[in-house]
Parts: sequence; structure tokens; C-alpha cells
Amino acid sequence: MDALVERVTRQVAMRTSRRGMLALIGRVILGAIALPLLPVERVAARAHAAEPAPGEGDPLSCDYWRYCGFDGSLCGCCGGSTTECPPGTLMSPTSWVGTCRNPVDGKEYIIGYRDCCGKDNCGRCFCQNNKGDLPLYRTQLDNGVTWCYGTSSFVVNCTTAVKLALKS
Amino acid sequence: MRAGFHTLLNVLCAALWLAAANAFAQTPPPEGVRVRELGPVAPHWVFLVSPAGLDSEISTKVEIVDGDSLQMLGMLTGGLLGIAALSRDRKFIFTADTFYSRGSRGDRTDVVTTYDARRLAPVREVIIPPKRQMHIPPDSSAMALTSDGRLLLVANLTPATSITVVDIANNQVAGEIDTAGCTGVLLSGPRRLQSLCGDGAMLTIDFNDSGKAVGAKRMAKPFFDPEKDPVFSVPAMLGKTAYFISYHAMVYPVDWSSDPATAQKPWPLVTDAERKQGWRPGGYQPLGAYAPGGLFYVLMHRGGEWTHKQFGIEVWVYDAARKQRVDKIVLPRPAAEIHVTQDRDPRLFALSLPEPGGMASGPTLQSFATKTGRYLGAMDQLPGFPMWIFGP
Repeated sequence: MDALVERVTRQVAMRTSRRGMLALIGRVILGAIALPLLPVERVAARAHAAEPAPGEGDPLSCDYWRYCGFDGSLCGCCGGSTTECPPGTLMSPTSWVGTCRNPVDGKEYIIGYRDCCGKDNCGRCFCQNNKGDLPLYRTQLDNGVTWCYGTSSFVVNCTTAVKLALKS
Repeated sequence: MRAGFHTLLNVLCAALWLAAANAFAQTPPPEGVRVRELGPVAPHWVFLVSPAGLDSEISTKVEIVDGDSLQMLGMLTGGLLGIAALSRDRKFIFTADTFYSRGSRGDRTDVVTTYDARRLAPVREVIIPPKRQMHIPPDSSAMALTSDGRLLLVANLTPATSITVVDIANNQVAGEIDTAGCTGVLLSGPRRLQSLCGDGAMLTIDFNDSGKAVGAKRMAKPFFDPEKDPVFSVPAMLGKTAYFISYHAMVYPVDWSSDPATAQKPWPLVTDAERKQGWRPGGYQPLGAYAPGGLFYVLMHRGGEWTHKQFGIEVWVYDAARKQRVDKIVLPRPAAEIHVTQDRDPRLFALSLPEPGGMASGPTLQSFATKTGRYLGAMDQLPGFPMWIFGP
């Protein structure tokens, strides 16, 4: 499963631009069709992304369910959100992955912890949970790796938590 | 009248001269300002690598502390998520760093810098390919110096893995060694390295002075199961045996005298009762070795699954040959990292970090005499956020 996720992520990363990647993530998360990135849609998307379903918990809290394998500053505390990078940062198309259980539907999801790179450490809402975190020999599961591959800077500002897939 | 005026002037001049001379005599001699130099690296000195503060991560600090007086001796300032090592003759400190031309952006330069250990000043540098491994916490498997001090091996992660070999003697990049599927540089011979692979096997690579692999052998089968009981990346080295410890408190010894390395029988760090109580290793640097005594030290806490980075409250000491715990040191405050010196009167150092949401306090280094377990004191207000300790 991990190998599959890694392969898919890499292929997507190789074939898409960063903007394309952002749009793809938007579609996956929101289940939306491809929309042009007009300001109105962007505001709407942010509102969606920042608001979890009832019962999911507080995405600005380290015990929010998606953060079970988290390590870093929550982007929601740094000008972004659970699924968005703060302005001017670079969202990495690569990430380490965790498997977290959604308390609302009881299902396990593969979560991609995508770093927002290119600006110095935000430092707010530092959160480290480590579920599924393995040492470097399992690189894709290592939350200590600076996951800025595919961007132009390995300085990490904060980290997002994006639902990639339902665990099969 | 005119003569009288002259006399008065002479008297006034004399008085002024005397006053000036008097004032000059009262001025203290000029102070002997200078930049300090250090003596030779002593056995209880410790080097703390702080890769990132909570507000910045673009300049790594290497802090040098006298473990006896618990005083700061000086520091090095590096780049993004750097790592450091000390030469065997203790005359030089090497760092591998990454810099961007505009701080957090711009052109990337990866560089190995050689520092004079007495002046803590850079003396040489070699630009290396811009792909060195950056990881928090940094650890000593990211960079290693051969025993003859000629070659420095720097781990790369793109995220494909390889090793850049720097020829220190000639101050140039010698070559690159491929370690596909395996990470880290652990030296086990003058020109032999070990790398830990994703399936739980060990890769043994022989290399030459040109920085090229001349032979590579992999264990026939894994020595641990990364899915069921992952090991921490850096082992305790006692003689030719590497002792890896696992998330679930097992010891996995690996014999590095054979080619390829061979696994020995695993054994537990805890009794069944201790396991039930939740005792397990954890922290950023949970393992220390005392090679002269055949002992290793493990930072332990009580916790559940996936608490492998939780700070430890006790240090358990093991005799590797007897496969037995021989001592237990209770820490005054929880620690994230431990380090043991290699001299005849060894010290155990335990580094405490501020915990998120905890009391506001700076990083603190605690010192213990390992023979008695006696607490010797602590040094507070350490700069940055030290996450790895090494020493001579």
C-alpha cells in the first residue's frame, strides 16, 4: 500500500506542475470538478478546507484526527489551513504519509503531510504525534525528513494534512 | 611686572603638566582584549547540534560545552539542517551544511567546512553536490569520517539515496557511492561502510580512496522486521558488534566483522512485567555506548505504541555480553537525548528540551558519573534546540 501511494505520488509529482498539483488536491479533497482559480472560488475553497465535518474535531488542535502522524507546525496557525499552504510558500508535491482514523465515519484514511516550503519555520502550534513514523530506512514513512522535494527550497514553514485515499 | 607674569605663567604650566601627569598615572593600563582560543579537546567535552530553533531553521548551531565545569566554550554557526563530526585526532571539526543565496530561497549550495578545533574558525571548505540528506533530528549516520581521517562520507537523499565521498586530504569531492534502498553511513572498517535497508537488511559496501564502491554485499535476509518491530537508525558500537534497539524494547545485535554483516540472536531490554508497565526506549537519541566497558545506555519511558520519540525518565544500563541490565539512572528531568563519554571516568549526559505546551524553560544538559549514577549538575539556557550530542 505504501509503495503504491509512493508510486502514485511520485508519478503525479512528475507529471504535474505545482499549481496543477494544488488544483488536483483541491479536487480530491472537495470532490469538486476542475474550476478556474477565481478569487471567489478560492475563498469558497478555503472556507471548505478550514471547516471539518461536525464531530471531526478542531483542525487547529494537535489531537485533530488527521494529525496522527504529524510533525511540525500546523499550517492553520500560520496563515494556511489543514490543506492549504500560507501565502508565498511552496507546497511540496511529495510527502510522508500516515494512516489515521476518521472519528466520524470510523474509516482509516491515508494522509499526506505536505510541507509548505521556502519560508523559515513558522513555529506556531508545533505538533508531533508520530503514529506510523519509521526511521529513515522507510523514507516515505519518516516524518523527520524535510519533505520539500519538487520545490526550490528545503526550508519548511509549516505542514498540511491532506486526505489522499481511503485505506483499502 | 612682566617678569612676574612670566613666572605666573610658568607656575600655571607646571601645575597643568603636573595635573595631567597625575591623571595619566591614575589611568589603568589598556585592557588586553583578544579572541579566546581553546585548549585541546578534553574527554568530557560535548558537542551539541541544534539544527533548528522554534523560530528559525536556517542556521544550525554546534555548541561546545565543557562537561566538567558545565560551561559553554563556544560554538559554530552553520546552515540549514547541518550535521557535524570531530576528527579522530580531535584537531578538526567537520560540518556539512546547506545554504540558500537569499536565506530561505535562491541558489542552493551544499558545503563541507573544516574548522580548527582550537580557534573554532573555518579553515577549508569543499562544495559538494546539492543533495545532502536533511533530517530532524540530525544524527551521526548522516556523516562519517574514516578512521585515517582521509575521507568524509556524507549521506544524500533526493529521496533516492547515495553517499558523497569527500577527500579531506586533497580538499575535493572524490566520488559517489550508490546505496539504493538503504540509508545512512555507519563505518565498520577503514574502507567499509554499513547502510540500513528498507526491508530490514544491512548492506555492506567496501570503497576505495577514489570514493568508489569496490564491493557490495547484502545480508541474505533481514535482521529485523520494519513492519513489526522497527529499530532506531543508529546502533551502539561495542567492538565489532552493532547493537540496534527497537521500538518494542528488543536488542538486535549485528556482527560487523563478517562480510556481509551477520545477525545475532535478538534479546529483550525489558522483563515481561516491565513490558506490561509500558517501559520502552524513546527520544531523539535514545542510545549511548561505552565501548571500553562493553556497556550500552538506553533512554526509557513508559508509554504505548508510537511513543518512540517521547522523552525518557530513566536511563537503563546493559552489559552487552551478559545480555543483562546492570544499572538504572533516574533522571531529575525528562530527556530527549543521551551521550556517554569514552574515558576511564565516564560521564552520562542527558539533554532536556522544552516540551510543547509545557513549562517555559530552555534546553538543559544534565551530567552524571556513570560508575555511581550520581547526578553532578546541570547547565541551562543552552542556545537553540539541540537534538544530537557527540564527543571525542
